[in-house]
Amino acid sequence: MSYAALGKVPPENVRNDPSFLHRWNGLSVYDTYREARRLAKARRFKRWAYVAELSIPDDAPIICEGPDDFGHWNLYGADPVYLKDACVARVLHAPSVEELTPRG
Amino acid sequence: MEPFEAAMGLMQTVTYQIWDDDTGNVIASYGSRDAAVAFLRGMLATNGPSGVSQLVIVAYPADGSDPIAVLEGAELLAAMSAHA
Repeated sequence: MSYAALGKVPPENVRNDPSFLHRWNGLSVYDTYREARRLAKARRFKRWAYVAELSIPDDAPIICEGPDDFGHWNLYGADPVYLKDACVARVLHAPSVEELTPRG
Repeated sequence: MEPFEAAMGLMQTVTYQIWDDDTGNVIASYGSRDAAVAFLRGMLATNGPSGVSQLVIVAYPADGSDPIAVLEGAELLAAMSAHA
């Protein structure tokens, strides 16, 4: 789910910033397992021990924006059920899987 | 200068991203640690302790080396309580 879905309110100085609010409503993903794992490792795998590999069809009802300089994308309009049921290719235990091997 | 910044190199450009532990989303990005901390303070002022307790500032060096978690919202809350 996006951070906006939690119902938190942005600080006053960015509350009317369209680009900030746009990112606030996005769903964060990385374009490689390596980058997602690096972030999880920075948190010592405390909260993000598992990384889901997504395969998003070209005709999926999802808007993808990115990548930034660190391989991060924001997804918009992504229904959580659709993502889970149709796009999750596999889930990996990040602490024990350092490199992604091609799926068989 | 924070120790990790010295370790990264004086001339290293670092991007500070604000991540939410609960949802796994990045919600803001800044070019300085001070600006990132100011954002956390703004979240605290607007949402109370629950607005920062699950946030973390992650520093991304421009040379592609591993990111580092530099400040967790819980640490900020503790630091602010200590100075209250």
